[in-house]
Amino acid sequence: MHVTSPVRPPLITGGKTYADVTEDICRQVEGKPTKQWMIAFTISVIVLIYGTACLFWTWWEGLGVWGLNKTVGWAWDITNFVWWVGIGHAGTLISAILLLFRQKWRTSINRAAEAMTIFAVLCAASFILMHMGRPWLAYWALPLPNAFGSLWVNFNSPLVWDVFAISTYFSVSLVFWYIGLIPDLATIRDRAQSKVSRFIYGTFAMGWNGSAKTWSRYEYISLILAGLSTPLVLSVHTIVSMDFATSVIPGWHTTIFPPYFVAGAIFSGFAMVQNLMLITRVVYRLEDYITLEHIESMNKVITLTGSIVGVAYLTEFFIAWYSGVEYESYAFINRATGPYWWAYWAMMTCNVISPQLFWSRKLRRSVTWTFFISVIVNIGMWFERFVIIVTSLHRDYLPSSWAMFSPTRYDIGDYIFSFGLFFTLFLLFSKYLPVINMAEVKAVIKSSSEKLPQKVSGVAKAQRISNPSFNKDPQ
Amino acid sequence: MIGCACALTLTTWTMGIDWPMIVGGKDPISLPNYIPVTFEMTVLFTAFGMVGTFLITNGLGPNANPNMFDPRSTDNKFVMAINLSSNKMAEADIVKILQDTGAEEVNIKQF
Repeated sequence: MHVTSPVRPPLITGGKTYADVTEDICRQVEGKPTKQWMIAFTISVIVLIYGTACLFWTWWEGLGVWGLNKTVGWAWDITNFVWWVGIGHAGTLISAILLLFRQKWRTSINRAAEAMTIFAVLCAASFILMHMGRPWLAYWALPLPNAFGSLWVNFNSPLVWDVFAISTYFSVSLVFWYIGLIPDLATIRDRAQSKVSRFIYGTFAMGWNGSAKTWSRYEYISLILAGLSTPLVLSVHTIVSMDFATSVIPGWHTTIFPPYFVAGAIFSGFAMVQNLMLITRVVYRLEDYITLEHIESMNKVITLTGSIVGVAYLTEFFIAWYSGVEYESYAFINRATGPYWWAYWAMMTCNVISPQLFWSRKLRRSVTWTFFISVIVNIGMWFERFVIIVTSLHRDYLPSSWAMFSPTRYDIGDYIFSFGLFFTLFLLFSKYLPVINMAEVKAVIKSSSEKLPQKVSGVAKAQRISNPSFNKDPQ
Repeated sequence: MIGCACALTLTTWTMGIDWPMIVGGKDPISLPNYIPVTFEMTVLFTAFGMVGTFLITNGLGPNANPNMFDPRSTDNKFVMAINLSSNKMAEADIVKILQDTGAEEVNIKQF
């Protein structure tokens, strides 16, 4: 059995009861869309339409509309792909690894983080399709018997590993997220007033009846899926990093890539979760569920992974010199002092220096600072991929073919497409599905709520921590 | 296990037997290179197998009949069901015990 120390600050503030949890979280789902939601949704859809137009033109005209040249053959497409996949790491990390570690603070944020994961992986997949140039031939990446002769995909290629890794990650995350949703969908089904919503939520709730046996099996399946997802999370970005690490390009050909990519992925993923949750928290008035405790815990993870990434950058630089390989050293000196020096130093500032500010408790617990630094971290992580990809490619072995890359409006437009897609999906999710896992929050409320009546909690009120100043009751 | 076997069969058969290919000077059947795909397939099959089992054992499926004792149990109430016909005690006694020990509501329902 898990025992929570009475000196731990409560996870859910405001003295919520079980009924309050249901009420607070179902309010968004059952009510009419708010004005803020409508505005945000309209903007996202407009952005999505613009992006789709750019994407259509990219496919219609061909990849020539991008700023690629024969030296820089991979640029924003793969940068954006790796960036989105990285962001997609936080959700499953929160729900799987933190479940195995019994970190109860994950309960308030896991639902939204997992949804974010799924949408981010979709955005990443869209870049895979985009950079193929001929998306209707995407099935060539699958091991299908070829109608034009019996050629199979090359299982030695990390690009094929990627196909398997990303699709497995996506399907397992989706299933994990859906299983977690079932009890909450049942709650909404049983509260539904109209026949239509009862039918729709009832269909997706799959006849969940919440009996003790079902719950016990549910706990087991969650643990098993968490156990399966944990190595999966770590494997996906490892395999993504092998797209680079198994090549012979100086700057890519390094063994540090897998752990360094995984840390970077968690780093950017948590930053994105922070951004989304801080907005959701204010818009949906969920301050009692996503407290400063949650924000602080996530900031600690950001500082940890940010420091790992920082150490990795320095190690890479050191090894480039220590290896004595001329090309390798040049690639790194060129990164820091070459024509793309600004991208390198933007990456260093955003990823290495900015998360160190969170050593200060005051900044760690400040909502404004958290939001600001999370945005900076996301920008920094985008630059990291840009630095790795473009600066390693633009000066190759043959100085006569050295070139620069500059994005065209279609490079930018296709990137904008992914934002439109991401926010449209996220807004739809936050309107039609409960953004917080009600069932799991109810499970932690007993040991972690601030002032649940003694009759329910079974613990005398005096034994609990007295109301700490940072969790002041809003009323 | 099935996933692992499928993946290994797929990779070795396609790369090594059906159309042997030498890529990067490696043996047509180079098992270390098949680890990523094998791992992913194993996880995928296990996850889907477990979820399938979970749904079947619980009788869950699209539009399945929830067959619930009380719809409020998915909100904030806890339900304890006692089968009257297979219980030695009389109905009234059970109701009395439950009410004495603090049950909020005692209903007798036909299922």
